[in-house]
Amino acid sequence: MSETKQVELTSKDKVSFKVDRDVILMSGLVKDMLEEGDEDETPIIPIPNVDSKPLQKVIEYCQYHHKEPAQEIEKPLKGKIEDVICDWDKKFLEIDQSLLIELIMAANYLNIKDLLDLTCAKVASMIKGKSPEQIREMFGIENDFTPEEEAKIREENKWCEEA
Amino acid sequence: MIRKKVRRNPASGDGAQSLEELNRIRKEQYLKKKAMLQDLVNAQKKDIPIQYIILIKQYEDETFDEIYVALDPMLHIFSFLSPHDLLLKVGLVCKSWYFLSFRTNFLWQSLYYKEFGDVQARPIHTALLDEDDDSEFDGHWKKVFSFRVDLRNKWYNNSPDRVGYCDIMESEIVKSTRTKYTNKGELFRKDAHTACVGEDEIGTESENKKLYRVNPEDRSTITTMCLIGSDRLLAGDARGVIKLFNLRSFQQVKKFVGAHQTSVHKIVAITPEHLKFKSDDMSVLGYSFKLEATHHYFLSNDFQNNSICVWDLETGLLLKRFRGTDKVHSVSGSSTHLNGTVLDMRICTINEYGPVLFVITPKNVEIYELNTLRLLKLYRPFYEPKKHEIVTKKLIDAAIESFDKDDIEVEQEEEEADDNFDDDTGMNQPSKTLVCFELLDGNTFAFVSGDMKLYVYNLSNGICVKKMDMKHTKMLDIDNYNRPTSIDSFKKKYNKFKESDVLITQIAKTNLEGQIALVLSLRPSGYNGYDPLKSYIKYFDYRFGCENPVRSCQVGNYDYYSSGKIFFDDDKIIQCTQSHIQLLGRWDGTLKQELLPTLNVGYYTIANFIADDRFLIMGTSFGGIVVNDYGGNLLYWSDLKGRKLVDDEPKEEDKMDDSQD
Repeated sequence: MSETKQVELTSKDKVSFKVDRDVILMSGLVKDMLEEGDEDETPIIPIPNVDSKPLQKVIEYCQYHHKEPAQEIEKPLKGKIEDVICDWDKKFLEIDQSLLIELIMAANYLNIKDLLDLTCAKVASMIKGKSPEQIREMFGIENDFTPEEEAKIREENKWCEEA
Repeated sequence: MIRKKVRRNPASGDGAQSLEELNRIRKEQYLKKKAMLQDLVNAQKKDIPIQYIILIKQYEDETFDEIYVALDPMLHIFSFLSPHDLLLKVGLVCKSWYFLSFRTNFLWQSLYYKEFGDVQARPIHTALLDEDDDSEFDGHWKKVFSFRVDLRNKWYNNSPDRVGYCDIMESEIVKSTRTKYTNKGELFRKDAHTACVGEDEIGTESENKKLYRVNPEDRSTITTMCLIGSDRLLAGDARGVIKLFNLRSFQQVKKFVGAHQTSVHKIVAITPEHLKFKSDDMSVLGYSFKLEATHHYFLSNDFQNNSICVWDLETGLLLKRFRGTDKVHSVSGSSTHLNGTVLDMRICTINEYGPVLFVITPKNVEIYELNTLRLLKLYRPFYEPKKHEIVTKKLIDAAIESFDKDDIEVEQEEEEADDNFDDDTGMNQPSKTLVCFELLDGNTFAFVSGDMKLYVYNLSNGICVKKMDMKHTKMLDIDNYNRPTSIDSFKKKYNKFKESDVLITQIAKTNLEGQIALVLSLRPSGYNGYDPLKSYIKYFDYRFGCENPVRSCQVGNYDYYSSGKIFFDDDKIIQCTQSHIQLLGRWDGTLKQELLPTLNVGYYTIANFIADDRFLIMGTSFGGIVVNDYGGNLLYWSDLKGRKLVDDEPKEEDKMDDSQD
């Protein structure tokens, strides 16, 4: 019985993860690197932009969706994201906000489209329905609009409320 | 021996062993610096902040860290948001988010296609689109989206069941034409949202499914249309029937029949606003025929009868018919009569009299007062008295002057003097006839004769102030960087067009003072006189002659044949082919958007169209009208159930029949 090839990923904080090659090929970045590199038995791939915690989540995602392809998420989101994703994804997304953002950055860096879609949709779902003040509070953003500017923008886009 | 001195830059040339290597290092540094500078310039130009989200990450040991989210993931998040969230929630968070959510074209482009159809459904409002601008962050897609949604909202308020998307229906047409079932232009669905007739539904037509078969009697090509105010439309068809449509209730409310045996050529509406204008010196006393300033009227004519019918729009009564032999009395007591076919009628406001009716016949330009339809002025540009008549004419002129009754001028010439058409050009249009006409301003009108001469007349003194032979003008060859070229060179280049095959078919005034546009139609050899012509537009300033046109543009593509008149707007040209409405760039004439057939009615063609600032109304070959807005929404199409309409409103028919008697 032939053993499955493995790849070793090293995170920003020097934690190594061994993962099946077929699983991590979901990442466009790793795939390109593996195609370019030598056929080592266990190639070591440094992931200098991603911490161990999000990287572990990424591997977890890939291990599940390697066999169960993710469903495409409709754009724009019509309701809550929980209504359109599977139970496993719902549980996967039960993480704090900072890890979620780190996951987005990791998915973007590793070029994993499905994970990027899922995490971005989750953030969009969090934003959806909230007022600008609540969004600012959620992401720690300062309001740099003057009240006049804000009123003008609201007036200009009144049509959107009627739509 | 000349030794080249090579100055080494110690900072940049570290490790360089040779001149080549030094050059390579310098080149790399230069390119890197250039790229950095370019990035900076681009960033400044587009005003793009480098980072968009700064998240505060809290660690277990109570320390904090800032996490920056880059542009791509940020846009990816935004791409899951609705227009409402983007504009009124996210866009108001901070200026960086505002910039991203408002101006990122790809966000709004995908929202547009999601909302209004597939990629084929390109936005058509040319005023908002610059095809050459490929900027990612100029926000024009957001403008296009908002324009179209805004339009749709307005129509939804009035008529929710009449708003649909032509692009969706177009895809259905393609689908249905692939099948063996073709509905031959007879099947309709009433509800615009489900206007597509599926393959399986064609065989099971029923009232429940709101499929209708057009009454064959109603199927006749719309030949002319006229808007009355903002919500009513008159359409004349090839059988001589005039239909009145209410654009608010979406019903064909009246039919005016019997007055015209052949195709209705032109309809003009007279509104109470027109009739309120009365010059002090024009007494209406003594005239039995008088239009009331409280009613709406319209005039119609056809080619065969050489007459103009005056209708009361409200009652449906045919009030009067000016036949070719009827005398039309002028103020001075003299009389004339309509001479030949009425080529064109239009109501224009002129400085001297206010709103008046212009009637253009092959030989004359006639101006009528609206209240009584009295002849006010008559221009006979091609009248040339015979030598022995000149003395007589002078005597008549002197006699008229001696009467000095009023200042209304009517040229009194012998009718037969210009009855013979000068047909020396060998073209279909006799040289001494009017081909097209346009009022340039309140005191100037222009027309083109059959021999391609442009005449500009002063209305108040009746003098021809400009006469230009368009054969001697130059063309701007758009294929040759718009260089002026003689019309002969132009014809040589497009050698399939002979000299006589270049005709002026339309004059249009432009929004620039003094500038007018001439539509030149190129007639292919072997032209059968029926097919529409290919068109070419030339703009020039009539005040300075015609030798050097201001600019020229080819209308669309030579592969397309235009039919009917071309509509000129401030920002676009609209022309009609048999199957499409084409919106063209005002300046270059390039095709910006085509409005495809919008109803699943099979093989009908667009006979003509009216464009105003709200919508395009297309008259079709099946006798109905189809209304689209500039966003591509199908707003309205006429109910052509014919029989039901006639059964429901027998009184209207009776009225019409009475009026014809």
